[in-house]
Amino acid sequence: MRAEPKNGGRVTSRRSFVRGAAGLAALPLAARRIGGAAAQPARAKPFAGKALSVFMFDHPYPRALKELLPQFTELTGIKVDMDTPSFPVYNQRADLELSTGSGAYDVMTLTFIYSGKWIGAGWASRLNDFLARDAAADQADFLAGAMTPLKSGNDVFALPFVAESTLMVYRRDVFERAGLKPPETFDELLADAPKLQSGDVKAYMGRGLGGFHWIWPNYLFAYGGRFFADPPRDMTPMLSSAESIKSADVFGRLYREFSVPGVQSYTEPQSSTGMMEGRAAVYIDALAWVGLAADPAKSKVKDRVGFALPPGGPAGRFPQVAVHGLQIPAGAKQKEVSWEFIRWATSKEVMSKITETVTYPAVTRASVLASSAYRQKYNWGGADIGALHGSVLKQAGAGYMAYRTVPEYPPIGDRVSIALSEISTGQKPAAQAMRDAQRDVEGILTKAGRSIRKS
Amino acid sequence: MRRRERVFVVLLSPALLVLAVVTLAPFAFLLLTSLTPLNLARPATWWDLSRPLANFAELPEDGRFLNSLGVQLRLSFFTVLAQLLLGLGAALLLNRDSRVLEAVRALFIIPMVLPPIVVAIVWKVLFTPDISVLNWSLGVVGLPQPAWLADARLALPAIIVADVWEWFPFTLLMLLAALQMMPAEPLEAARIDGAGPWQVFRHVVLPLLRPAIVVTVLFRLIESVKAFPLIFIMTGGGPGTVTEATNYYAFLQGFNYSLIGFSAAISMVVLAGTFLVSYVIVRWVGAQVDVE
Repeated sequence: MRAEPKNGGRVTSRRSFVRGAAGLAALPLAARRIGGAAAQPARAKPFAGKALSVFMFDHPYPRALKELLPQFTELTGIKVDMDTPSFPVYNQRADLELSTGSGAYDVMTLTFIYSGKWIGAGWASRLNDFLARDAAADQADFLAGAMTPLKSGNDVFALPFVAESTLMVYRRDVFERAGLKPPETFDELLADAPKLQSGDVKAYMGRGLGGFHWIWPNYLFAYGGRFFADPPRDMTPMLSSAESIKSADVFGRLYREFSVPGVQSYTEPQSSTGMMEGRAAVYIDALAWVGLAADPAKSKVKDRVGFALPPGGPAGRFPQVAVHGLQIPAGAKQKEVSWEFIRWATSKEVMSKITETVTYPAVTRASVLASSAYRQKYNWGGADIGALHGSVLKQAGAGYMAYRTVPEYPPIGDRVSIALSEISTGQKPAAQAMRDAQRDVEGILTKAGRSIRKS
Repeated sequence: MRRRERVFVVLLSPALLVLAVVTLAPFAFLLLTSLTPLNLARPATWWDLSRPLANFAELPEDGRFLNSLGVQLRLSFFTVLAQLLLGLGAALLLNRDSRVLEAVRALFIIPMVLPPIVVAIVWKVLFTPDISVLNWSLGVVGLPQPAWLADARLALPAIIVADVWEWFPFTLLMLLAALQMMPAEPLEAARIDGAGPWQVFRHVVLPLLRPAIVVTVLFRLIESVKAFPLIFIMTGGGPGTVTEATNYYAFLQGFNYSLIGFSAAISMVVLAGTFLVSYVIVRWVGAQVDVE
């Protein structure tokens, strides 16, 4: 039995089908001949069918981006494969990948502490031409404090998706019960710590493993210390100064005596989860992590937390900042397609969407920070997070973060973390650990060809 | 005869070629790299052989490297010793014909066949105070609940425990196979002569097991240098540097700091040390086996 044709009784023969298809294919050509270039419709998806390989570290922003990828594919026709290992694993793999220039990834995160090394080595592409011809990217809208570490002179090498300003989240109920106010200085925090502890709640939550060197500079600068004499001009390390030792001692005591057991081996997600579970009264870390304590869906203490600038010391308050951006590796093979992703992922629309859909206050665009939706949502426990975030970025713009973007920083940061780990686990007194670190850091800098004054 | 030799060489050469490509070429590259100051961020350092021994001269001055050797020695000694004792004990217990014991043998093999990363994650969870069943159990019976991986005295023992758990099944299998291949006559003769169980073990079983023990120790000793995944996942070399074994330090120098030349020099020292220890074991213990 023969099947009935579905096109109203007309049978389409193979020959007529081929003839029709050829005619359809010829239509655009005919149109161009008739109407010239102006008659050709604009191509909405010039990169449709392309595939992009994106490499970022695990962080709330890329987690949210992953959810939005179907929209990007719908918008551009580009398929994206995103790989997001943990922060230390990312840095190791990215450093090696960029050094080979293989072009295996089309878009990568430009990590703050590697910016000096990667930009200096020529491993990141200049984005100036893309920015010049793409008004929608609106470079001027990025906060100055967020853009500076990703530039070299006037050359832009990445667009920032996160500005990690350091903030303090504290348990209002615990402080009220103890009859205390949030600490203004680290000395106050140390003095108050015994009164903040009860049962399972410890006074302090920090970041462990290799992350010590991220938190400790808040203490170092507050006590009047410095990493280097005057980076990047004078790179003489200042780690064994009296101020440095004092700050490391206070830092270590908070970990040893007043923190959650085992915190010295905690990663950032473990620390933030501990805070969300209500294990500590004070947690000082980057905004994206401390902010999770107010997460309406995950935090058990969301209604009992307050936010403030991190404590200071005799020399003042020096909240730390880390900025991470999206770059096109120098070896990338389809840079136009890479740019398409970067402009989308750091656009006002996407950043706004992410701040609205998940807990993500660590934004880098002034327009998003100033929006009423942001200000309304990120008002936690009476604290205007946008104002705190903006204030930290403004302070950091004074230049005290210059130590962290020197090309030699990664091994130096690691070495300092070892010293802080030794202090915080009671292996060495602060003076000895910092003197040992000073000696080793001098060795690292000498080996790198830096001219320094030896202690 | 000469023709036979030619055929032999022709037939063997593909295998030798493959061996050269996959083993000798990387080794030669490593050796050559160790003689340069290769830094991935400074392309000019590629093939700079102007000071070929500079990396090696730097090693005795590097406190972190010397510390890593100490960590590696402690890690290797205690893991191999514990694996040998546990494996031997379990092999003696399981050396019976029984279906139940056969099933038990299969269970013992599980840790060895798990991917090393899985083993590391399992033990990291067990040693993390907030989520540890181990700590919870200690708490139930009123014992202290230490922060294993953040305590400088306990972090290395914690890694040793995880490594022993993962690899003692290997010594168990090797020694059990040797026990099952053992001739029955010497054992029966010893018993007829009035030897007790300990005397049979000490004077008959142990000497007969010695070749298997030497091979097993050698394998485990070489493998003990590869405890990398456990260190990477569980402690990251810390707290401080108490679990920073030499291969982990080489990895940091090469892939965190881009100092590939220096990292290659550390690797060469590890390689030479492994060769030396293996050679001494084979010559010394092996010679005793031959004599007996």
